[in-house]
Amino acid sequence: MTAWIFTNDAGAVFQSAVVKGASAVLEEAGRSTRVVEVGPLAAPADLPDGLASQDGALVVASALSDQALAKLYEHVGGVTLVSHMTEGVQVPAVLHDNAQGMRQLVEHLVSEGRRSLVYVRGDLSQVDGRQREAAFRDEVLRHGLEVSEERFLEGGFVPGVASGSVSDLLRRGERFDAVVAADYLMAIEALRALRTGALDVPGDVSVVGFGDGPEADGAGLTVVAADVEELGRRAARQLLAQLDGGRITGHTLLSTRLVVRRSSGA
Amino acid sequence: MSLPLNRPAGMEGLRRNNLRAVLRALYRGEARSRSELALVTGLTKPTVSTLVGELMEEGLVTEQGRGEASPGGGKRPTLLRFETRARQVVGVSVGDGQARGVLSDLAGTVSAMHVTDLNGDPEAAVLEVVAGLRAQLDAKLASVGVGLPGPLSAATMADALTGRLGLPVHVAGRAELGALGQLAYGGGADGTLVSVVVDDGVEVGVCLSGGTMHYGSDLSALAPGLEWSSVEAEIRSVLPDVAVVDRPGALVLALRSAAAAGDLRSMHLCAELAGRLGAALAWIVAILRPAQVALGGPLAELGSPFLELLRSDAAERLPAWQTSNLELTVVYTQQVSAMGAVALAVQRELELLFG
Repeated sequence: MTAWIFTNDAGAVFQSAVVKGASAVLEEAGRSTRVVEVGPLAAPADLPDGLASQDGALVVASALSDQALAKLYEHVGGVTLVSHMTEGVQVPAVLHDNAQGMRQLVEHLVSEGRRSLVYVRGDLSQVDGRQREAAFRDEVLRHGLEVSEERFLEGGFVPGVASGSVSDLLRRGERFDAVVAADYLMAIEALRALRTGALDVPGDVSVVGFGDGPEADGAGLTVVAADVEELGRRAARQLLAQLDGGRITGHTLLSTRLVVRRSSGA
Repeated sequence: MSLPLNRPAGMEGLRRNNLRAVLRALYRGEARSRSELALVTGLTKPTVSTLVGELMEEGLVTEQGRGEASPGGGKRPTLLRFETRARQVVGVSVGDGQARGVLSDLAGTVSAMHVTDLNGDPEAAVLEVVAGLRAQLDAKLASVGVGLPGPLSAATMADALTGRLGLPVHVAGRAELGALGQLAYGGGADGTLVSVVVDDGVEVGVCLSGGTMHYGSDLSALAPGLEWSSVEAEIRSVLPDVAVVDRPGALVLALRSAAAAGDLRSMHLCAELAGRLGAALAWIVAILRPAQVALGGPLAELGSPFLELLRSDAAERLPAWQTSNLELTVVYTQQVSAMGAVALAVQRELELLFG
């Protein structure tokens, strides 16, 4: 009766928060948990020995390939994907509501009179990265904004990459009045790069990011809060419902909430 | 289900009504103590005390310290509070190829949403959504509300789902619930609210008299040429290069974008669609005199430019006094009608919101 948690990087900020939240709920329910580091997109052969049919598994982001997921789903008593969805295999999932969060961020900027937006991308191999960008593009159309492809900057959910992309943009002499980053850690680095480039935040440029944490609070960053430990807890509950004999299909989306801080709203 | 409010009518009827009256007065802040409850409801103090005791056992009411003594002196009353988080309800909206449900407390605060594909079986999809949200319960589930697209039979579905779930299930049209959702949780204006959902046809929902009366109907016959299959074909002929998209709204957004960029054929199609809808809308406005009309379904993605086209179309068909105060807005139907389903479930179980 083990609950396995598959992740591609147990030490990363996002993954460790998911594991923390999920483990608490699973252990409270009397399930022993085992965290396994695999992937990204690990093959079926990479699944550990010792998976039993009454076990369950949480798969965080893109730790397993579709083939490995299919094999896992067939083999154990329940699987829940965390911040991941697959086209091929119908595995239930728990995610943040990326569309709602991005809508809240862009609506906030537009309500502050910002019209010239820059987007810092996440990792497009991950569902969160793809969904947030698609949602951003929808919002751009809904508000009649124009964001040329050069304004979509590489970030990859890596703060250092985001910082470099924003600095490059400044060197090109581009003018803009808001930066939306696909996560808050990239947004903090973008904010620093802007200030290094002698721009006033939020006077010249507003900066907002997806997700929240103590670093965002410390940097005075406007975000949509998306509690990652809560994501882990909710995912664990979905898994437990399956292990108790329930059949779950589809995906559960957790609401986001706009938190306005000093980096916007000048 | 141990909620005392759900016991059948008959001998229990009077007591149940009294319980509801007490709960409603606390929920709306009309009374904050047992003696205020006696004043507001007209019940005797011993009766109120007994009812409050039952509600406290159910966790729906808690004591919250003491208030100020009355000017004449006397004991400081024990303050009571309605616990909006003591029960949760599920509201589900079916349409757009999906069933989408929200898990809400009694104040309309949503903690989770669950989405599943319809796969041609709305009843199964609703059950899947409820199963997904039951895994996320933080309190006892009181009831379920469901909004269905026009042609599906609400009564049959309610009976079937109640049997399968072992819970009270309340079903209505999703356009009707869209109007109810706008009123209850969407900041809808005072007065008559109308929701128009353009999807496989034109569904209309009406909410009157502060929510005590609501109903839905179908206007497809009065506004032909708006079923999604033909609108989709028209958009595709105007915008042949748009890639295959995973949802109707994305194609409509592409049309909006092209029209905004000055593409003449796209602009013409938007005006044409506004004209088709405008014919039915004019009747709605003339007869119902709504304070607000909320447009939903894929065409809502045409946004404020489309609302302006609708407004000028209405202004051509009707005298100015009938259109000058009209508020037009766009809504995300699936979300608003899921919240309407929450409002329906709360109202039918507890009679808290309206009346």
